[in-house]
Amino acid sequence: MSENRTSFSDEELTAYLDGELDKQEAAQIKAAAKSDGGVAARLDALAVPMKLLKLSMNPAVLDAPALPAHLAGAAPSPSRGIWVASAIAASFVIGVAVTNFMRPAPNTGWIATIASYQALYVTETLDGATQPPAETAQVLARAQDTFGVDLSEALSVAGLDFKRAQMLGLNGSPLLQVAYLAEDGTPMALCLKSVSGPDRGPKTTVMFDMAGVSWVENGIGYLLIGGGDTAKTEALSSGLAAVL
Amino acid sequence: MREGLPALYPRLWRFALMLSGSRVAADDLAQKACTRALENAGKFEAGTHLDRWMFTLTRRIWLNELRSEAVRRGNGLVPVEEVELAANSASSEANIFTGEVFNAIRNLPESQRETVLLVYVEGYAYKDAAQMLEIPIGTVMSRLAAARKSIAQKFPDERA
Repeated sequence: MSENRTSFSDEELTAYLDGELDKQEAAQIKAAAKSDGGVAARLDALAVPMKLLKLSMNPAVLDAPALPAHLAGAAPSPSRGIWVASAIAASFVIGVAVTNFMRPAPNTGWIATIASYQALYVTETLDGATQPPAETAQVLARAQDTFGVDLSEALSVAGLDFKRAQMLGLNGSPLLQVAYLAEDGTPMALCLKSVSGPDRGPKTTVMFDMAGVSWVENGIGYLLIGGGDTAKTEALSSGLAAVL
Repeated sequence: MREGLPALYPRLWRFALMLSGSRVAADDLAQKACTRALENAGKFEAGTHLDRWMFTLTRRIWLNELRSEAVRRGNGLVPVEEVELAANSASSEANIFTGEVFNAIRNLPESQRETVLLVYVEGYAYKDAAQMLEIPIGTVMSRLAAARKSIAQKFPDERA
């Protein structure tokens, strides 16, 4: 079709956004969007944050379970139907109990969630951002009240340029985020939240192509995350742990 | 098939979560689907797409066996508990916290949720999603258009 179409259905615009149209049709819509403000506006009305959508649905963020052991073993045959049914029932009961008992999810749950958020940061997110000192002081005071940790020294650690501190929430529980830019502009974040469980030393996890180092001390979980260089993040985390 | 299941399971579970709306129901549905698949392993041709076969099977079990029971028990719209995220900060940045998008998807009608999952999350083409959902490709398109409009309304400053 070579005529200049000016009206497209939402379905066609959706197919265009999803890369499902052939080259010719896509070129038509692209041209129409440039010349026709109406088409551009309708494309806007269909725009969704796709990267964020995919991140929020990542199995690690959702804390998706692994294949249960009884299904990874020998394949049940139809003649063992009764055995299979009771094995499933048993694992279902265990599964429910484990899900309830282990709430909040073990470390991977909250770490994956924070990582999925941090994955959205680029240098520009924080570059040129300066938080008013009064606001920083307020956030740190709240953090001190909430977690019993004095974070003033965490604002001036070698290799990390402090940008902003804010209190967020995760599963109804307070979460402190301290945002930095590393010397090379890599966005980094130090996060604190209450966790159940004993103290443990630093552990490195790589998620969404970022290195994260987490540790637990006195019921507080710490996470420093950012950048693809594991060794560098580990070094920075020791620097932070020393002053906290 | 036994080799393919472990890697596939979290994705099947995620699909089951989108269909059923609860972690517990998702566990039940995903496990049932795997059991059924293993029992019917003879019907599956090696070399064809295990993932698509399993998504189709999972959905059929949901529709034919588990859904009416769950709806009767009032589980149809149970929120997905511990995945809920809340931001206490008033900054606009809080609006793009992953929980907001997840909630936007969760609040879609079931037909749109399952389509969004297969196309936008799993990355299947319209044609393949249409096959797995056993609907015409045009229906896939209209469900996605409707879903896009719902989600876009909650995130006004986005570029697709």
